[in-house]
Amino acid sequence: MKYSLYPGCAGEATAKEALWATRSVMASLGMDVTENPAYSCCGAGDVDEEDPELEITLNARNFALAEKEHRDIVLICNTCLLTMLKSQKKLAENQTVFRQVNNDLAQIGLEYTGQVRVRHLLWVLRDDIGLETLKALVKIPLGNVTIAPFYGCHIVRPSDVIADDKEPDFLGRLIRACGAREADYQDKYNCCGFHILLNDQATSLKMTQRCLLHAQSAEADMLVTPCTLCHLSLDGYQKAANQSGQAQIPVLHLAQMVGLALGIEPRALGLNKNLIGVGKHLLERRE
Amino acid sequence: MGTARKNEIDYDFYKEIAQQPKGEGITKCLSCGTCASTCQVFSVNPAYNPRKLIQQAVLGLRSEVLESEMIWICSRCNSCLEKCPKGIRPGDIIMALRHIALAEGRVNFKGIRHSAYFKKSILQTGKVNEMILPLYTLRLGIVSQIPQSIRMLLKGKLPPLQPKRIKGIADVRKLNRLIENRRAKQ
Repeated sequence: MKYSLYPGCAGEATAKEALWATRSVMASLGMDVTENPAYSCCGAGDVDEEDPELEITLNARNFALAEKEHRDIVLICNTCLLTMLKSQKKLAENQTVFRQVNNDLAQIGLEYTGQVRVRHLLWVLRDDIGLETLKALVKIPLGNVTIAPFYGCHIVRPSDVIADDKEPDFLGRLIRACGAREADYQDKYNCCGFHILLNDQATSLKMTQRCLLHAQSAEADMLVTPCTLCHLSLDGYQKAANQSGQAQIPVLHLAQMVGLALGIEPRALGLNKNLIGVGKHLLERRE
Repeated sequence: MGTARKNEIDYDFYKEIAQQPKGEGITKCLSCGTCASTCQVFSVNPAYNPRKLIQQAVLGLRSEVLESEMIWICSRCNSCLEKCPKGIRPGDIIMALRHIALAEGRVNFKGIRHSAYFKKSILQTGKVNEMILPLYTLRLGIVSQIPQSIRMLLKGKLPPLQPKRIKGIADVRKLNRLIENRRAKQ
């Protein structure tokens, strides 16, 4: 299997630790992965609000670039995932759109056939590597730590675009495979509030804070999320979201958690870049 | 269409929404309130009420809906899309309202500027400039972001002022020109 890593805008700047960790994990697992400096932003659903045709075309261009290399797109942001899958669905269901977009792509020497697979790192770990293989590769089990899975919205909903489980449990199984305990709490499929962080920050941070609080009530020592944007809200904005006196809780991106279990150096996973430090006490609780 | 002033009723507004790519569901809304009861924004901020917004739109309160900041507070969590008993995708109807508001350009809110910046930025560099996005959205309100910016700065995560252009940015601009020229001819 060959992969093309799509970084996402947050992965390149405000949540760069997630991208570093992903590179480290994919290298450690010996995966054949390249990066393409020609990828554009997916449009994030915002371009769709203004100019739906442009959003589909931007994604079709990215798809065509990946197809040229015969690689699956693998990404680490839920919103990139949903945006691309929506474009792909539209292109598959509407022949007029498909032809029009390909006419335009032909002008820049590209073609989209519909072959490329758009996949989240979480799904790649599950379907290509497999839980049993991963378990066998765990060098440093996470040990006596309870981790709350936080899926985020766009890897779960809407179910007509995300063909995966409606209530997936793979993140939980991955937490256990890494040797930690999974916290059971009600917010794992909830919204972190990221997409209104600028439009209505007070509301957004209340949503963030609620998720953090519920994870803490379930006695979680940390959260883990597959999404760079959830990571940015839950970790990056945690100090702004927390009520005074509320305890801080570290938040790992999926790749950081897997990387720790695989025994990768914390610095290569960008752990020093998290806003809420993963305290030594947590790292030392590992077996 | 589009001429109603505040408090005037535009009886055809729902038809206009139904013609949008994501708005067709509006004709089937029962106003049962399932969208609001599953809405994750509503649960922390009841001022945002998708049931009310959609009902106002059905009633033809065009200006009231389009000139309300409320349509920009949906966090796109898609919970209502899953739970609506009529399957009308309430969140998508809100997106259709955003599309009309953006096309009209009559109001200038944080939310409108936020969405409009994406296309602008992508045509400049191919990516979203995370440094300019908050400035463009919040304008003077950016001062409220100083503590957060300092936190990011200390971690070396403040985005660059001018991100590197993607390879083939000219192609992206060309694609946009093709789309816009076609649209101009229609």
